[in-house]
Amino acid sequence: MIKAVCIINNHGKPRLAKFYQSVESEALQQTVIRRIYQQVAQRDDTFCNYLEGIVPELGDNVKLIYRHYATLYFVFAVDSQESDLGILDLIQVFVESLDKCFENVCELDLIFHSDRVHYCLDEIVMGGMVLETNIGAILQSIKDQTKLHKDSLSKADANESSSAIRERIGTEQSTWQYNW
Amino acid sequence: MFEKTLTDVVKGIRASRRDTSLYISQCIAEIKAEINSSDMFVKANALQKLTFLQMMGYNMSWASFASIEVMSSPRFAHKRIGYLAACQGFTQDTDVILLTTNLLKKELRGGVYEAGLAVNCISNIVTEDLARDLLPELTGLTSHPQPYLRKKAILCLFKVFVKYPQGLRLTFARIQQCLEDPNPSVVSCAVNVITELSDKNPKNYLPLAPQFFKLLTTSSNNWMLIKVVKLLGSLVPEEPRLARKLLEPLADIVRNTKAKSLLFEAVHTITLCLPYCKRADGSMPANVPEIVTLCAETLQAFVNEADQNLKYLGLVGFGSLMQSHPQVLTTPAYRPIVLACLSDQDVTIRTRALGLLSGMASRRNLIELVTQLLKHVEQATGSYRYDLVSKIIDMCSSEKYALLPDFSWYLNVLFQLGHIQGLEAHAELLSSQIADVALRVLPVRRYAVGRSIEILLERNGVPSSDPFGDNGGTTNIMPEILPAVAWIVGEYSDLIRMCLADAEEGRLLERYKKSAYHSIVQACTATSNCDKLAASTQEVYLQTAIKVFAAATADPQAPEEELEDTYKTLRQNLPLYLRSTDVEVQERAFTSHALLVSLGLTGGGGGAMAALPVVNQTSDLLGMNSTEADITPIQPDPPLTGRSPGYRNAASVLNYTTKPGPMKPSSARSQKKKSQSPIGVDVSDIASVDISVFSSLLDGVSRFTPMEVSFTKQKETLLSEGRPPPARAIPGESMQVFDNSRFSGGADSAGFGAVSNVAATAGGSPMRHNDPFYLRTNDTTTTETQDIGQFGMIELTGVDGEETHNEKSKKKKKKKKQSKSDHQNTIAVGGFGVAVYDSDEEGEELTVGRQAKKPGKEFASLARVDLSEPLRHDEVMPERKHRTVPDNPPSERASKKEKKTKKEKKKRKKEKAEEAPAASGGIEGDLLGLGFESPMPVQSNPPMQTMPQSNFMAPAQAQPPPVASSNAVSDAFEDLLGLQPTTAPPQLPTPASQPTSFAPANYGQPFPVMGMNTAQAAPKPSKKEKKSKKEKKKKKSKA
Repeated sequence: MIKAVCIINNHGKPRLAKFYQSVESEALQQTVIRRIYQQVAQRDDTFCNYLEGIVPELGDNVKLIYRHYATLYFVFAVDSQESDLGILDLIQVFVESLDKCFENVCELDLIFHSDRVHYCLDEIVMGGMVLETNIGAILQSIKDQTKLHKDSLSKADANESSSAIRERIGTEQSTWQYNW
Repeated sequence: MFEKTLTDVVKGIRASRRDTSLYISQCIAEIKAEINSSDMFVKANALQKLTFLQMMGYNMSWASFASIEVMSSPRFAHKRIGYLAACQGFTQDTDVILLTTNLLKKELRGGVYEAGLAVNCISNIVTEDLARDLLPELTGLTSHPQPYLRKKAILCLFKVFVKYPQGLRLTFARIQQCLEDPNPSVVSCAVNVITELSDKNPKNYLPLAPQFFKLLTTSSNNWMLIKVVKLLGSLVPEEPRLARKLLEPLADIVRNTKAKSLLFEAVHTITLCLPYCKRADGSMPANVPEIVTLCAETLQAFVNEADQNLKYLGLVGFGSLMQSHPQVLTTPAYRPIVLACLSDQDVTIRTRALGLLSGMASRRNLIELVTQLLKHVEQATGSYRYDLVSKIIDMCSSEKYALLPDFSWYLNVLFQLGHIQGLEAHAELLSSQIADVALRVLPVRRYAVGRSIEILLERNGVPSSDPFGDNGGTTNIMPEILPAVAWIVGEYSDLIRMCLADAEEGRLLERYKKSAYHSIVQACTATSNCDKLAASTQEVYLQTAIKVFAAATADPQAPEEELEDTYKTLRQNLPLYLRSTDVEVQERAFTSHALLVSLGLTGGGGGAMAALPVVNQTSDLLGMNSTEADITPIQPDPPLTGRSPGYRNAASVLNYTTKPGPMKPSSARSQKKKSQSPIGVDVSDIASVDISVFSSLLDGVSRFTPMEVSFTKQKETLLSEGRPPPARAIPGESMQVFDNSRFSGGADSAGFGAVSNVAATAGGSPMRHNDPFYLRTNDTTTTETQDIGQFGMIELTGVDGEETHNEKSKKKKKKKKQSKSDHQNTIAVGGFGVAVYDSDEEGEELTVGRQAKKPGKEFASLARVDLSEPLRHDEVMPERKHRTVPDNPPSERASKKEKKTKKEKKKRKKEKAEEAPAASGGIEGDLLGLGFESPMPVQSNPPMQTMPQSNFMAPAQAQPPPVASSNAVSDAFEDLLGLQPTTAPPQLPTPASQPTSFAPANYGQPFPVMGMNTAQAAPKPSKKEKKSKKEKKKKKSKA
């Protein structure tokens, strides 16, 4: 099972933090991220991509599998049920789909669109298990949802009855006048 | 007013480098205002910003309700934000999760991507209530026409099972069907889920093995094959026959696949299978050697790869291959590969390679391996260096030094490590090892003493002549080891003479040959040498000094002048320690000093009166006060002792008081457990002290009673630990002799039984043959052929007592765990610790550790689910009804009840008799409706209600029950009976704990229960019978 997925930049700033095993408080999550960063950052790029450094917050026998791309570390914390090389490939899949989503992804994309990174990850990993590994299928669902997303913003929602809209405009005029 | 967008916030944070937290707190204040806006756009935007800030460590639990509001927005864009916020911000304790149930339910029936969002969200936030309420919808989604939703729903079900284990029983059939889904992604997800489930409790999934086996041989999807291989690997321990069957197909994969990931997983699973391949008759399948070679070659190729990841995995694979075939790595071909990895830059690889070493070590190559490792120790840095050292010690000392061919070599290694700077963290380990070897390996003891003397003397301002510890010629051994070294010298000081005889030309010891005793005493007491040492070391030093003096007096070869010098040194130096700030040092110095004084030793012929001035002088000099005044200056008795016998006479007393018996640190508990006390002395005899040893004093100096002789503190504790002092004489010895290896001779000295310790120590009593404490060695470097003859025979495997106590100790296992500290006791022996190994328990501790891994806490209840039982009628999909108080699912209630003590169960039984009428009445209506309602009626005490019910029904069911499915009444009835075994098994007393009056564990089967319970129902009051008759009538009419 995948316990957590983190993207951390070279300076230890989190760019994405997703915990599939509940880590109760935000403070604890930050310690996990810091701990991961400390262990990962001191490793040379020629070293292997596995770290058996313990992250006690995530349970015993958790292995860190990471890849370093330019300014970012993509770190997956997994238990023994995951294949070591498989996860490395999965990171590759994740990065490739990000690359397709953002067209030549760079750190700035991830900073300004952290939500979209989440949406992308959700199509690959769900609840700590691998959902889809086929990049085509991943991109298709992301594309569909992005379209839905845009459509829902541009036009008045079909589900909303016209009376409801009228009602809202009527009652909330004060806010709307600034918005339009 | 324009709200900041997420982009603005990010830009702002990046711009305000200096005061980020201030900026963020401003943002949060804004968000707090915006999130209450009635405009969904504003609200969603605020939530989006907050979700971003959550990633940076800011709490967002206060916005839970707003998340739900945004989730319920009709716009997909807002929904997404809301669901993401919920995933990130909700925890198990978030109370508003209760409000999401209906929303999610509705969403699951909606559009594909909306439902996808909801499923994803459920997988992150699911709670027990949500799990139960949404199970039907999620199960329904697994047959949705869209594979996108099918795969998501399947994965989500796993999360649901974790919270609501009963759901697994209800829907497992559906998951099984998904294995045959036309869409490969869906199959892959189903395999994923089953792999996770099987990790928690493999037994349940054995029936699926053929299905997976088919997948393994037919599928070509590598992602899924990896999982299948993993899954089959986890099933193997449950069904060893599977292991043999798997070998060949896995080997095929290894031979044919090009994907490295699958290749590795296949090899890894083969290594997991190998331990189980043995057939019942003990033979191995014919293809095993071939497959082992195939694995080893594949792994070797991995290790030799330039890719560090593959190298790492190769080492991991070797590690698990070694579990079953340790000989693979001992072949010389693989050794250089692993050793090369030890010098890899990457610490992960180094650590893995290090882990392999202990498996590679054999009696033949241990020395070579350790020599290699020692080279690495010098180069290594950081914690890896510590790992190396502990590995070396581990390899050498494992299984009671089983692999060690040469103990004197090992001592050298230990001393060498002790001289390396920067290993202070291991000082304690090193010193306990040194002491342990000296204690337990008799043939090497003399060597140990010799080396220890050298180290003590090297501290005495003399540069080391040690060929090992010579790091630049000036490095001394780390001070933490000195207590062990000093203790060895003191405890075995009677071997000093022999060590001197051994001393080679050019060694340090050789220089001191003439006055070894004096030099040692000087080294141990001279303030110039000792004042920088820790108090705990000083304590041992003082003890050593007096012991060495005792040995000197007993050594006939020690020249009289040396004895006198030694004595003078002691008398001069000991009082200095009376001023020590450390109480223990003070006390030891005082005791030793008092002992010397009280023995009334003279400093040789003309020194008859010299002793007294010394006392006076010291007391004057140091301002000795009341404590010193207690000692009445003793008038020596020169005429009796003549020129020199003063010291010689004291020998027996000194030796007896300072080291009465061979040191044998084993805990009192283990001593009691042994059928025989190690030296053949009954432990109960300990109390008696052989006063005869003082007879010389009593005769010679009549003022003395043994009571005035101070025993040192060290000895006192040890006596109470069950270490036998000389308690009775060996019959047949003519002289006054003590049953003790040290005091066996004595014929040569007149009258007093002065002791010739030297020969005796190593000789020992023949009873030690059976003593597991002492280790044998093939050490041929020592010249004591007699010793080897005597001690070489100890068989460590056939330890007496071990077998006989095995059964007993198993029962005590639980107890032992609690009192683990007892096992590896550390007794303070002269200020430093000697680990006490309880040989009986050592092995067991290991087996306990090797027990199968337990699933984590959160999966515990999931692991308890048993899928082998067919579903009962009452086990239906939970239906959600309007209610505010959630009823606990049975499993949780069961686990709570489990804790209830037997007492309560008994109580309940009593109560049951009284409550029965009411209960039966209450259930009457229920009974008919049962099976159509929620799985368990929310009642406080199901057994109470159902039990009597079955009693009353008994007569009506006198005939064999009709086919269950055809009869509504019997259905309902079976429900009642069936309720108990799986939904709430622990509520019933388990068969083991239950008295015979109950029908044990048969409630699932209506038939036998009837008979048993009718018998029990007989004595019940008539009122109940009436009621039961009524019921019967009702039943009949219904039927």
